[in-house]
Amino acid sequence: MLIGARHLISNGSPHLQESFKALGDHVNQTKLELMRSQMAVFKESLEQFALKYRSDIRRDPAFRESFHAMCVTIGVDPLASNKGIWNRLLGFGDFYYELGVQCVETCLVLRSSRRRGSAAEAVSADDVLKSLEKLSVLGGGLGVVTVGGSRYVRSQPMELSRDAADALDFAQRSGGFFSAPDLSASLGWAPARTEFTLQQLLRDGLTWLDLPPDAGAPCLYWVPAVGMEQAAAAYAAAHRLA
Amino acid sequence: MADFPMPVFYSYPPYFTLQPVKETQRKQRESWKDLILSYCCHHRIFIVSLDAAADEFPLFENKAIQRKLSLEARSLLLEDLAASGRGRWLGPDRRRLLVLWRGVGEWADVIHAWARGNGLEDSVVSLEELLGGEDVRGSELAGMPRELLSAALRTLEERGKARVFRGDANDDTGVKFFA
Repeated sequence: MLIGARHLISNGSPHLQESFKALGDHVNQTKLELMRSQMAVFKESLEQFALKYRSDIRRDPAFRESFHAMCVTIGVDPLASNKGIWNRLLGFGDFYYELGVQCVETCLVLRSSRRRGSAAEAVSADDVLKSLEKLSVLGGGLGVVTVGGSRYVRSQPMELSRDAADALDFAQRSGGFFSAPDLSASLGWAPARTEFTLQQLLRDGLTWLDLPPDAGAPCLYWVPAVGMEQAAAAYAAAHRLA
Repeated sequence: MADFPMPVFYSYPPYFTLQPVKETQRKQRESWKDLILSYCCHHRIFIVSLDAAADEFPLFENKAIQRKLSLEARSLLLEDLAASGRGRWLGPDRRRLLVLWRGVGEWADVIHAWARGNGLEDSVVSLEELLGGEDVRGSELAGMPRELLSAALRTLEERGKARVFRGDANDDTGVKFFA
């Protein structure tokens, strides 16, 4: 039929050409309207879903994560706007802004006390990542870095060298602290390489120096980012302290 | 120490070593400064001395993790308090610090409120009475060292809320409070 149509057009009278153009426009118009109505139906059911499970979405971090995954798959971003329908339905915008601000505060204050309190809503790692993503538009180097198997929130712009990342990974595996000889032995580094990396980590504020009281004991290097409470407990246990 | 909630850093060994990196040390000293103030406030400790034995002021040593602050670190922390207006050195040798977990002005308010509460307006009270008399026991004024009391009374004088009559000896000094 297409061939026929082309044949007609190439041969044809201007009158016929106009008719075909009108027909084509009509078809396109119909398609568009169909799409529009499908989109409306789709949007409505998504909204209904969101409304129906609103409390689950807000309360259950795992469910929230699945909901986001679904939205991403079909190209809707419920976080995109703080004014849109999604925020009206779910109140997400503020949730992630607030969480993001709390993440930043925690980074700045460098305290591991639970700022959100036990009564706060449950927050999943996915929530934290999303909130930081939102704040990353502000610049300032805010982001997430992966070291070894763990993800860390980075609050200031810095480049982590390969060696520094390996040392942090080692700290994570050894309970949050290590001595220079331990680090050398574990990673097979020459003392100079270890020393250089440690100086770099100290300078970036990623490790803290600790001079144990017993003479002859090597300096310890502590990595607060790995978790202060757990590290202190691990140290006390290892040294059979109270 | 049992009822005072220690911050997490107090069990974190590197906090007891003066950090070699400037920015890290700034954070460290800031944390310690806050802790000293809240600890002293909680236990109503007014004076911290660099010469004090550990049992007099146990905060600078955490036996549970076998760590203690060096003399240099302790001295820096007290200097920080003085520099931020939350402490005053007693004597030129800078060994004893009056820890102002309440500012002198606040203490002046506390003393004045105490005097009003005890109906002592327009009457003369001796300095010794204020330093440990019957009425002071168990009140907000209990345990105030002489140096702090004098400073707060000077502030009250400046505000026209009190007048100090200085005698020949210390125990002759009296204070008259005004409404």
